[in-house]
Amino acid sequence: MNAMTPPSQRLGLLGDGFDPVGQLLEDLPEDVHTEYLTITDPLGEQDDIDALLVLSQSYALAHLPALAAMGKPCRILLRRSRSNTEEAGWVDGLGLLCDALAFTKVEHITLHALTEAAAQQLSQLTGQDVTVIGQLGRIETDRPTVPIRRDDPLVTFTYTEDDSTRSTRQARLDVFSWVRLRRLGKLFAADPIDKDMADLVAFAEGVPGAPAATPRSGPPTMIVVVPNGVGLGHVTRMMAIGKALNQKKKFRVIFWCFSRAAAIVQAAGFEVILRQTGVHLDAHPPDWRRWETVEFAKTLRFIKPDIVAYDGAAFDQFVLNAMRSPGCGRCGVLWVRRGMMRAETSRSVLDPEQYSDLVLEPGDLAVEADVGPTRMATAEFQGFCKSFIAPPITLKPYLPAYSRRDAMKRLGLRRGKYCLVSLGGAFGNWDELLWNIQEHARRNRITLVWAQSPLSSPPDDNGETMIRQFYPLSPYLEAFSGVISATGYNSFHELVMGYKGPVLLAPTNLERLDDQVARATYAGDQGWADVLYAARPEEHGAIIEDFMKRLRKGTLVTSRPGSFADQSNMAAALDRLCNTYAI
Amino acid sequence: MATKQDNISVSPGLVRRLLRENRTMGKQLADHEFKRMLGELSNPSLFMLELDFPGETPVEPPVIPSIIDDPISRKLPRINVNTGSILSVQNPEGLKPMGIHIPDIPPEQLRPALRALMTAHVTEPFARFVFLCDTFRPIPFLGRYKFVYEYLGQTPIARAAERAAFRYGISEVRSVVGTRPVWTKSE
Repeated sequence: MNAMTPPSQRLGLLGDGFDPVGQLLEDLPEDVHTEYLTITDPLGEQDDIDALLVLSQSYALAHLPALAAMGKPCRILLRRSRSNTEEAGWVDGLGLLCDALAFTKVEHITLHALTEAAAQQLSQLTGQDVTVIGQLGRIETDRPTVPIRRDDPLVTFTYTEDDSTRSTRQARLDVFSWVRLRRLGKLFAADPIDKDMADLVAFAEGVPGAPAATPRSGPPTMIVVVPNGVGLGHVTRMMAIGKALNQKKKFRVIFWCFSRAAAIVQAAGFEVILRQTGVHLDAHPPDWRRWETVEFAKTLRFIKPDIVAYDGAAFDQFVLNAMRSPGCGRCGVLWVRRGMMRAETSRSVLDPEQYSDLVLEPGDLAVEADVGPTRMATAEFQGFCKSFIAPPITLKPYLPAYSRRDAMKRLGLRRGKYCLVSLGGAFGNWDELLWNIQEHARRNRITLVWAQSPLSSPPDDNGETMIRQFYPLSPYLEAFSGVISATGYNSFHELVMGYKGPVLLAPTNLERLDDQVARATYAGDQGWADVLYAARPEEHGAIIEDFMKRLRKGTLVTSRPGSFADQSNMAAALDRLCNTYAI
Repeated sequence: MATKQDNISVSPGLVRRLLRENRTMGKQLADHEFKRMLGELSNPSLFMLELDFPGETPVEPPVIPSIIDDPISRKLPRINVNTGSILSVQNPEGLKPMGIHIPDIPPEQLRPALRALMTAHVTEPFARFVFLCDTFRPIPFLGRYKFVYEYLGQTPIARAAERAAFRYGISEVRSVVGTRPVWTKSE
């Protein structure tokens, strides 16, 4: 929908926070402009809501005096029994509620059930008027059949892969909103004794001929959650994806941004909602997570995105909890997952597949050297997840490329030979590396320009070291006769695919980052770049000297891959993901 | 099974020494951070982000309905407010959380205003700050020194302050320029 219409009704929900009924309400066409508020004190919070829905008779019994005293319309959803052993207690509870309601003689409380069958049975049992709470439209897409049992935390189903082979897949049930679940699978209740689950599944599956959920309109919208991360890698990659989508189809991309790079994201033309991590705040993690869950859910209800995307190794639980909150479920989950993880990385890093709709892997030119789990292992639970490997994605194709003259002028560089140095945070003997670079640059009359993140403190202008603190770097590459760089995903691909001068790669050996050494080695083997290994300091002097000599000569490298690939297929994959939730 | 040798014997004297060292080192580290901060604040290029996205128009973020209109806001826990890395005190909770509004002012005005505030903060600590910023410009600086910050954008200061009162427990907001109060929590 994406049209940010103010809510026409504030509906309080009294019940379990992740009750599937509360989740499914947003698919009722009549609830399209409803805002759901979680209520725990009906009387104390009655001014915050227009009406109340109590999600079970247990909650109604616990709060009956308050429900009777409040003056707002109140619907009580009667649920059927879950097991034979519960049956007697269930009948007693129902009788108790009806007796109490008869005693209070209030008219603003009405009784409801999930299905016609349940309404009939409950009417007979209680002697009261029980009506169906609403009917969802049936979803007629082709999707796997998913049996659901309350006592089994996993759903297990047969899934038809893209190559038409069939496989058995699993996922944890409690990671899904039922609004997503009903679009991903045809649900059926596998335990005939559990009547409440049968009602839930029947309610979720919908009724033929009932009005479908209100279709989405306006531009497709994606909320991107970016972790703080090291450097600007996550932010840069997601901005590149956003730019690619905007070029193919006008996507609205909003960043839920834990990075201090919010100004950069805004300058690039994206909306940014700035956040701080619990670690940065030094906050008690559960307290911080509770706030993130509540405010992220508020944002989801208001923006109504088609996709929630996450770029990082592991989703924080707040993302999942918010997406399971009432009014927040109708969107796909995109996991942007870079490859080239280290070989020793645990397979558990793939766990988020089970709740993702799509894993988007930004392609890596060094994929043949990738021996990490994304290439060599399979997730324990894959859920309904599809995967798509895009051509390498970088920001460079969406930015201007300045001529050498323009770039030098903008950077304040005079005539001469310049080498850009953009290194990562960890590299063996750092001081010796710097000395080597400076010494060999001096001998070859090359001026070094040190790139520094715009997020770090401004450089002291001591007149000796030339530091430039700008973003993005790639439009200025023509100003330089050569580049010395770390080997992160973005800089590697921008240099290998969009730069012709000599490149010297100094892969960072920080363990929690990607396998930069493997990526650099591959580039070295292909003749795309020279490589400095932290573990082989004895080679550094000769390699750097040779590199500086080639800069002096103005050597160009012709063996590198050509231009950046079109991202139409990626845009189409995300469009298909939007379509899953458009109906 | 744990053996006697596995159990580290911790004497009260050792604990006292570690606490003393921690206090001393914390103070020294904070002093170092403050000196570094003063160096940054004297640099004219601070707050001058060099960003080059020609043809792009910066977009303001959406104004999301505030949590303060939701009953759940009254049940959310308070979030910790740091003193920032430039200050090490034994009992930070003794300092009340306070909102500091940073309006959209030129860097040459912002730098001395922050310098005055931070100097007062380390010489005679009186509060833990929650910075409410009209623009993104001060964010990297405040983040480097581990301060709490919020971006206002199009959100009116009173709305942002009310939310910060729930989130951090602030009861007043003062401007970084002139320290005049710009919001006070109504009783």
